[in-house]
Parts: sequence; C-alpha cells; structure tokens
Amino acid sequence: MSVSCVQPKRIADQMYVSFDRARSCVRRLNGTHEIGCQSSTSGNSGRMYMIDNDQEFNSFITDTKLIDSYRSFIIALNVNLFTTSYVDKLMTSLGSKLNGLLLYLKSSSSRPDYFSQDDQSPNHRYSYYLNQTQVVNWNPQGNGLFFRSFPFPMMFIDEQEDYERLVKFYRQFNISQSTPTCGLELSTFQNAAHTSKTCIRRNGISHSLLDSSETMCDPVGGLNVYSKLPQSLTIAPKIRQPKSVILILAATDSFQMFLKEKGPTGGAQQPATALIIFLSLAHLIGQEQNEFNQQDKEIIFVTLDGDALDYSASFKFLFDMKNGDFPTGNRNEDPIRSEHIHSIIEFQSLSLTDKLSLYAYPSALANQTFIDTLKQNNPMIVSAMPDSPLPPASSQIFLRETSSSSFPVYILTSNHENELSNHYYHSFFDDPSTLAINISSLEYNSTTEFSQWVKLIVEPFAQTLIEYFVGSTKNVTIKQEIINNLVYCVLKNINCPLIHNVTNQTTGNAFDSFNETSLPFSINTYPTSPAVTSRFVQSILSYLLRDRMLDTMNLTEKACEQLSKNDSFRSYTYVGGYTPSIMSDAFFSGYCVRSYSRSVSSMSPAFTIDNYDLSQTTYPVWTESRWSTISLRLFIIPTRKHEIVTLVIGILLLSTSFVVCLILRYYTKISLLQPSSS
Amino acid sequence: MFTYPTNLKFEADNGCQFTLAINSYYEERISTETEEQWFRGFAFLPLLWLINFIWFFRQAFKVEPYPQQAEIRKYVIRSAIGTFIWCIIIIAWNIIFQQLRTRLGPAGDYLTFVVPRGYY
Repeated sequence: MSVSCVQPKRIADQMYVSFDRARSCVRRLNGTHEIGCQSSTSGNSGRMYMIDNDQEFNSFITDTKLIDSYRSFIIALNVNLFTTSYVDKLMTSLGSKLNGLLLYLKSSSSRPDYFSQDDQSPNHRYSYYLNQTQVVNWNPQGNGLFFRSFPFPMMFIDEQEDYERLVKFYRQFNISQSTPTCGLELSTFQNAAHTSKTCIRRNGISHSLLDSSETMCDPVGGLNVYSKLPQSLTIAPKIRQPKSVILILAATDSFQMFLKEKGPTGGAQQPATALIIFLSLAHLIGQEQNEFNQQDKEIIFVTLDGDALDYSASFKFLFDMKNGDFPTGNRNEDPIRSEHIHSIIEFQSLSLTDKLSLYAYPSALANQTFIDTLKQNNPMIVSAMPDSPLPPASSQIFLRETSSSSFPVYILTSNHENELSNHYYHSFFDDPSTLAINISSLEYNSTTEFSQWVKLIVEPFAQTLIEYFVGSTKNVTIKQEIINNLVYCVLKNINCPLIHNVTNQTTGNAFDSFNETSLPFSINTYPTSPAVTSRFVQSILSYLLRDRMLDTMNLTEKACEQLSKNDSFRSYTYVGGYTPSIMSDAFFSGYCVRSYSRSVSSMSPAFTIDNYDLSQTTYPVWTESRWSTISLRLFIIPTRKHEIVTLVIGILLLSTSFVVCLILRYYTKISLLQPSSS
Repeated sequence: MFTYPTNLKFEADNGCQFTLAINSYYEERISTETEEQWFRGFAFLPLLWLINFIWFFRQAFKVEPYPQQAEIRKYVIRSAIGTFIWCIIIIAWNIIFQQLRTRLGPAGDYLTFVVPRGYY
C-alpha cells in the first residue's frame, strides 16, 4: 500500500493566475515630493482592458458605455503607448476608475526606439546643476514620468511568455460584454508617504513598550569606492603638495522606473560602458606603475554610488573632503582637500559610438596640451566648444562646491550635438543588445566589437596620461582577454572566474549567490540593500592597482598576514591570482596582494549632519520606500447574471439549512440538537 | 432589580408590633453606591458615570419615592451631566485631531498612536 503525498490545493489559489516575473514601479521620496506609484493594502483590482495601438486607444476613450458599466479598470497598455500624452489622456477620461496600469512588451524585437522616463534634462530639477544659463535637453526623448506621483500601481510585463499567457486569457474571455471578463489585481503597497522628512521622522516613532518602531523608508546611498597605487602614500611628517592628486570618476548606479527582484537592471550604456573603460584604465595604470611611481602625482580611481538621483554620492564625497575625511582610515595620512586636486577626469554616458566628446571646464583652467595630446593619440575624441554646457555628470558637483576655481574637469561622453547617444537613458531597456553584444552567446573570453572598441579607447588614454604626467612616450597595450573578461563579468555573470581569482575564499564565495546575474545598476539603499556592485568593483579595482612587485614573490598566506600586521594603510589579501594581468614569468599557486582601497558610505550628508532639516535644499534627500509583497494576479469577473444567481443560491441554502435544523430539533429526538437543560 | 417587601410587620410574643424596615439597608447601599461612583468617576472615568446613570435610573425616577431617593436622584443627574460633558470633549478632540493631524507636522505624528503606513 502506498501513501502518496498530496499537495493540498486551496480554492483561492485556483482562482488566480499569477505573474511572478512582472516589474513594478515603487515609491520614492525627496525633500518636498513623493514620486512613483502606490496601491491599496490589499491590491488594486479592476476589469482588464487591453489597448494595443492608437486606434484601440481612441475607441476605448470614447466608449463611455463600457467605462460606465464597470467600477474600476486596469488598463493593459502596449509599451509603445507609454508616453505622457497617452497616460494623461487615460487619467483624465477614466478619472478615479483607473485603478492600475499594466504595460507589456510583445517581444524583445518590438521594443520602442526610445524609452526613457528620466527628464529631458537629467538631474536638473534643483539648483544642483552647475549654474549655467543654457538649459540643454540631453535626453530629448525623456518623458519625465519617473518623477511623477501616481495614485495607482503600475507594473510591466517584459517576458514574452508572460505576455502570451496574458493575451491568451484576454482573448478567451473578452468576447463581448455579456461573457465573463478578465480582471487583474496589482498589489504593490508602499510604506512611505509624503516627503523624506515625514518618513524619516516616522521611522523612529514607537509608543508601545513591546513593539519597536517600523521602518518605512531608507535613505538612498551605497558605497563610494576609491583606490590608488599603494606605493604613493603621504604619511606624516610628509606634507601633500598642492595640485598633486588626479581623480578619475565613474558611476556605479542607475535607476529604472520598473524594477524587479531578480532581473536585469539595464545600465549597459550608462554606467557599465564607462565602468569597463574605468577598470581597464586602472589595469593599465597598474601595469605601468613603475612609470607612474617615478613622479609625485597620485591618480585616484573613484566610483560614486548614488549620483543618478541628484548627485547624492558626489555631495557626500565633497562633504568628506571638506571635513578632512578623504581619505578615511589612518589619521596619519594627510587628508586631501580641494587645493591638492590637480584635475578630474570623468567617464560618463558612453555608448558604442565612433566619436567621443571631450568636455573641459572651465576653459581658463583646462590644460590645452593635455587635450591636444588626448586628441592626437585618439582621433575618435572630439573636443566640445570651450565653456559649453556640461552633460549630466558628477564633475558638475565637484565644480559647484569649489566655485569652479580650483581645478579643471575633463568629461568623456558619447553624444551628438548636445544629445546623449543613449536612447534608453535610465531605463531597463539599456541592455547589452544596445552595445551590439549578443548576450546569450557571450562567453568568458569572447572578443566582441564592443571589447575591441574599449581597447581602442583605453590604450591611447593611458598613453596620454603617461606622456602628460610622466613625460615619456610609451606604447601601452592591454591584453584583449582582460577586457573580454571584464565585459563578461559586468554584463553577463558576476560570478565569473575573474572575481574568484582576485578575491580570497570567503569574499569570493559571497558572489556564488549571484550566479548568472549581471552586475546590478540600480538605486541602492544603505544599509539594507546588499550593494554587491560596490563590493565587486572594489575587489577588482584594488587588485588591478596592486603592488606588482609582490607578484614575483612566492609568499604563503601566513607571510601575507605577517605583512599586513605591520601596515595600517594598505590591505593585504591572499588570492589565487588573475593570470592575464600577471607580467612575471613565474606562476605560483597563490599571491599576496598589497593594495590600497577604501569604501565609504555614499548617503547624502543630509542624513548624517545633526539637526539637519530635511526640507532644506542644500543637499539632496532621496529615500526609497519599503514594501512587503508585490504581486500581479489575473482572475475572472463573472457576468452580472452569474453573480446574482450565486447570491440567490447562497441565500436559499442558508434559509434551507435553518429550516432543516429547526425541523431536526423539534421533531426528532437527536440529543445534540436539543436545547440544553440548565 | 429584584423586588422585595418594603415593610415586614412582626408580632412579638409579648404583643408588641413592630415593622422591620429591612429595605432601607438596600436603599442606603444604593445611595452610598451612587455617591461613591460619582466620586470614582472623577479619575477620568466617564464610563463609570454612564453606568451610574443607566443602572440607577430606574431607582431614581421610576420607583415610588422613598427618603433616600432625593440623594440618589442628585447623583444620577450629576453623572448624566458629567457623561455628557465628557462626550462633548471627546468628540471635539476627535474632530480637531482628525483635521489637524497632518497640519501640525511633528506634533501630529508624535500624538498618533498607530502611525499610518503608506499614507500621509
């Protein structure tokens, strides 16, 4: 006799069809507004109506009979119709009957040509933008919907199978008005409300002795990482010389209006391309460290996490710099202040284009020799007109906080006539296919057009840096393999051999849970979000800029630990070693890596300054709401007749059961039913 | 409330007749009870006054007069007035709080016992 384990099926589960891989829009707050979407606690439901094109849209808007016959609607809208005009028209004609919006993508080949919910002039909402008179629309196709507040939930189905299931049910049940129709339920309840100030205040309120306070929102922030060659340390009593530090900047975050727990976040053109170039350049600097160590200037590689929303990370970085906290760590290291900075180089919004624009600001401080050398070494680079408005870039904040009078900034970006080449700026459609990469066939060492393009940019750039700072002309080359590996790790799978080769056992194992995930670029909240991006970048950056003299020494793990005991400025780890970057002939089983890297919280200073009023606009105060469940379910709304019949049968059954019980009580002798004697 | 004889007439062995006023014990009790309840209600307990009023309403107004009834009536009426005043205060505070909760800023939030999630 066999006993089979039967999975009990609840009737409630059989009533709904869930779509687990849908993306949703969440609520975020800043000092004065709330943006994003909100649903009711138990979800927003309504009759589903699918609108696929403009004609269907117009016929729906004018069909007042249909709109009047239902109490609420969930509109399934083709993503090509997701523009301000359509959404506004829908909201005005349906009013409060619009209970939710579900966008769908029919197939990956039918994605719209432009899809960006960021503003036309990104990061320009407040006066954080450098005070330049001309407002340039860098992102002309941006519809700004990300920054609006919607009273209903919005979700997005981007998987083709999900779309086909949805259409199958819709076509099956939406024949005419009298047959049962499909209904959708969107549940994306967000805890935060009003403004960051209100929400942060409510985070700490708890009146009861038993329950602790409930956190409703988290400040936006992640980790800023910086690293440099470990041989150049300015330790007391040595004093740092003015204009002796060069900062190279890249971003590690982005945002998208629709996000999901486990899914690609976009960000291939911005910031992944810039980040890959940044890391490859770090490798070249590390490779040529003997040259760079001969001169007195330090090149510090800095990644900023949180600049997509009002440059929070840059503000924090400059705040730390003003307070003498850059670099953090041992107090004996002389802090870097604005007078020590020689120049800033930033890689921002790069795409696979054959021309790159170089912005240098202010023109009075920019060094023309440097610019000319850059252009001479790399004919792809075109310099912009002097003092032309800068694209959205973190450097703007560096200039703003130092009144543009201390150092020049050089921004390398891909744009054409004041328009960014990125059609999917800050949206999840910004994926590797926009870089001519076929992600499904990409291997760990595939050479792609993109990785060859990166090589063509990075080599002349490193060459220029050597010519300009060291003074010698040298042909530098980077192995194509290294760039291929970086591209694979960043865009396809961060659990790649590279990350395991450059980290020790424990750190490397932390990446196993991210197998087959690309490097996520989204809004991080500190400290709740895992911020795997910053850890990944820090591990690779510190390895690439390591002291290569130790590559020639066969050290044991114990010897490495011994070295770290005497050194409080640099970190020592024992790793397997990334072979393509090792120049020596001998290969050992393990290497001791001496590196200099720091990571600091990149939360806006507004959250760390005592008694700072969060409604002030000195610093950005973005927070992201917390939520518990996000679900999308489909169910069938029966016809009116069906509902009435069900109700009538129910009432009849109820009264029949009363009658039967009465009869049994008074006309039979069943003791269970008799009134009790006491 | 239970009924009880108002007067019990007894005839003693020696021929003396006397009436045992046993019910005055209960009426004394009721009178003291209303008075004590009235004082207890001052500890911000309007429900005690409400109960005082409802429970002893019959004794105060619906039963034939007896000596302690004036006292009882006095305290029952006072409890009724007290309850009414409390109702006004509570309703007024309820309306004020609901209107001003969001406008008061931090004060409104700190006064709220269960802070609303997801809404201002």
